[in-house]
Amino acid sequence: MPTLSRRFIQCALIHFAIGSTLGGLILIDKGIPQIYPLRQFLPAHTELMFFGWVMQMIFGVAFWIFPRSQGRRKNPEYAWITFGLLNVGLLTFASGLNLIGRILELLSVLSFIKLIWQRAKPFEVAKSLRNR
Amino acid sequence: MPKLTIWFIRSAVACLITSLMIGVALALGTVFQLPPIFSTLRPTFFHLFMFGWVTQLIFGVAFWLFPKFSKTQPRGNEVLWWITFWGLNIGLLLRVISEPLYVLNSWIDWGWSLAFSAILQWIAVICFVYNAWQRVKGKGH
Repeated sequence: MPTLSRRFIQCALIHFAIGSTLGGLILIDKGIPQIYPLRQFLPAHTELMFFGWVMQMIFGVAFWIFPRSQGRRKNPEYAWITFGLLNVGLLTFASGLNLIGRILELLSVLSFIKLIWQRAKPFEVAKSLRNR
Repeated sequence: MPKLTIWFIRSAVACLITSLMIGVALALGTVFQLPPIFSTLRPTFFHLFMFGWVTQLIFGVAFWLFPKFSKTQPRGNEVLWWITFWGLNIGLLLRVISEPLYVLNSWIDWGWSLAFSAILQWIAVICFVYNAWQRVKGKGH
């Protein structure tokens, strides 16, 4: 597994643990409302689960598994920009700066599409490129 | 495909079908007058889809395809993996039952059941994170 995928997946696991803890506390608060009102953390919970966990896990696994051109993954330096934009974006959104957070997330998604689009191809094409 | 992955995927598909059936009921509520319990099902629909379907599918595939942990324990601590499976599914089922009943204020206090379901699901997540973290590694590690 390449370093970038490891960082993507490790960050996904961290966001998953934090997002689930928030979600669990919100649900406990719903059932036993005497505790501190935790529902205000609902946007942070959904953000961490959607972008931090599910999307980041998909990015990491796709970068690892998708067919490679000529036996290597192109633009690994560029891919780090996707990683940085996604994590800064979702943390910015979760901390309340919604507009900036969403713009950074959008840029991250666009850069990911550019990165992965050329690798989405049938096995035969990937094999012939590798053997060239 | 390992046995636990099959369990994860089958259970994920069951959650998907249930969530979509609830989704149909929610959509019907916009057209017809339905009993009040239907209006309490939105979080249930959402969590069955995102946690029961999407997340559980990721769990199953990660258990199967992530790099091996060691020669003796290729998939990590299998007891913790099973705790993940049962914690997720029992916790989610408990939530599906108790959340609408709690909102409708029935004669039993379903709040504690809701809190217990949260704890079960959280334990499932933490066990998964612990196991998966150890299997996130490159070649030669």
